[in-house]
Amino acid sequence: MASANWDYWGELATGLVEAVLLLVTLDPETWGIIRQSLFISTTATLAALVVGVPIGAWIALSSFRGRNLLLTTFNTGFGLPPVVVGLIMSILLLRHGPLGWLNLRFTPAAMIIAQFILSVPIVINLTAVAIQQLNPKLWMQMKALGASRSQMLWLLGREIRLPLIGAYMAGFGAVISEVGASQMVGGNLPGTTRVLTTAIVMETGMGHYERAMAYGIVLLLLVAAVVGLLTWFQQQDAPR
Amino acid sequence: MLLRAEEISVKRAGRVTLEPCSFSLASGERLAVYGPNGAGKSTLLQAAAGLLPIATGGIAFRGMAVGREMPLLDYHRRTAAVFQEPLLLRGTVRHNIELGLELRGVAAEERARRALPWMERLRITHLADRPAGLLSGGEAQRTSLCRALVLEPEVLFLDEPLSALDAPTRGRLLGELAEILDDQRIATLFVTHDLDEAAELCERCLVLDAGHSLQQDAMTAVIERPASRRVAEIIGAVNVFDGVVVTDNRGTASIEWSGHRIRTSLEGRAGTRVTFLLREERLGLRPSSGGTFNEVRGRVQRVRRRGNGNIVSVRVGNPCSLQVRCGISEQPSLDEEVTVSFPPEAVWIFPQQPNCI
Repeated sequence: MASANWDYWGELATGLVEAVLLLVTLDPETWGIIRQSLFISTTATLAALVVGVPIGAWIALSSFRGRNLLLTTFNTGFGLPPVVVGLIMSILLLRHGPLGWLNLRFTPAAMIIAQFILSVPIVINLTAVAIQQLNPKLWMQMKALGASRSQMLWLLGREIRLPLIGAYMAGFGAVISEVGASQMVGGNLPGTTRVLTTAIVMETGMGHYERAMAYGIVLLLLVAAVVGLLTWFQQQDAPR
Repeated sequence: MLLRAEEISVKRAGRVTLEPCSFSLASGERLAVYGPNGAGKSTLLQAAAGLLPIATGGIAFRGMAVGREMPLLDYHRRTAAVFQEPLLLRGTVRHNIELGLELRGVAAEERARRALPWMERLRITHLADRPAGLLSGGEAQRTSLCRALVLEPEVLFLDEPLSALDAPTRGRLLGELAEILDDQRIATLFVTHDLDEAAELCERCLVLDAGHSLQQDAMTAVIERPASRRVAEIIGAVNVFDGVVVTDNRGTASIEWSGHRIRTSLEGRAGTRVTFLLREERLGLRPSSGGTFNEVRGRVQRVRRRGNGNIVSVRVGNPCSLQVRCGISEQPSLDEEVTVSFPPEAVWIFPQQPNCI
């Protein structure tokens, strides 16, 4: 049997060495995939912040019938399976589907939208929780200090910037490491929609463990670097 | 008049939490809003400060109706508020102190120039670069006061700003605050449930209970001549009794009470049932010998320590007891026979008869 002759530990060691070589020799294909992964996930998470923060703030600051239901709905989004998001988007983006005219299937834009859908509930929830944890009288104090409505929103943003960084980290971490939605709506096309996670799946399927491991290491380092940077920034701001 | 609140009331969740209430503040005047917990004091302050929507009535600032002739934001920018919690925002002490000025568009240099003297006055200059989250309760409240004072407000709203502090810090800060308000002549609405604080800081007092304004008068008048039994209870007066007026031949009233005849310096109609107060600080205690007018004999029932004195409870009839405030060295024995004496001026007959509320 082939598997019996296969030098498991040797292959693993070779794979690790090759992975490091791919990175240090600035392999164009590898770096292209890294760039694309960062671009797609960063754009999706930033868009989720732009949309999610005002929605989270609105939910936290207002009281209306169905508010809890709405919050629960967004919280459910935490457990949204990426593959289901990918499936629904694929159906919608089919040539004869309702959004087929957009011609977005197998484009980075479709991947950004899918990742946006996955990260926006996280941002909404964490923003709402962050605001709800503020002393409700702080709002009154801002008013008493003579803050206009826009100044109050600005001050509120300043107050919750640490949880906001946390929301961004959570959102980014969730989307850069997901594969289901990206694979289904992006299609893993080289140079455009191939990202680290889809590349890992593909290379593993093809038996190219060294490349798959290289991408895996990069993915781990990338997540660690981005989250580490944001954590450092967060801690600079925290009172000691 | 600098500030006039006319019949303002507040509803929360469909429930009236403040019944129509009026008051006014002249420049430099200080009005205490005093009452027990849940009286609606903070609600009144927040409504008057334009921080809470009012259900009825209105607020006029320098003759302009707030919210109609004067935008709410302009009103907020000419007043300042300090709450029980310091409510500091993220950032350093300096950032917090300059924040109000920053919101008004004052340039950074000017902000620093204006903040410094106030930080020196409140002795927090050394804390300028410390994050607000690392301050002690006293330091945080000084910062909060500094943040309000640096705005040079025309009206200062103080909502129990000292109540969360320990007694020595509270005493020190109260003294400093009184000095500052004296110097600056800032009109102040001061919410408190501490009568001593109210008396130290304010000339006038509005007594509030369960959302109702019960009395509004000079501070001494509220303390010495409460408008009703309830006001007397709220200010902590305990020697409140019912009696019947017996007018004597000089036109002043005497009261028949529990077998005693009490002379007053007030007028009264013979035969009227009245509720009256004997001010505990005007009562004297001595070994029993008397029995003439305004000398009531009884037995010591209990001696309690309060602050740097004693409160002696003397049973003078069944079931009446008088509370007498004495010096710490005056400590009669239990069951000792003593005489409680007092001048006619120690008696106050409530104008609202028989009981209010």
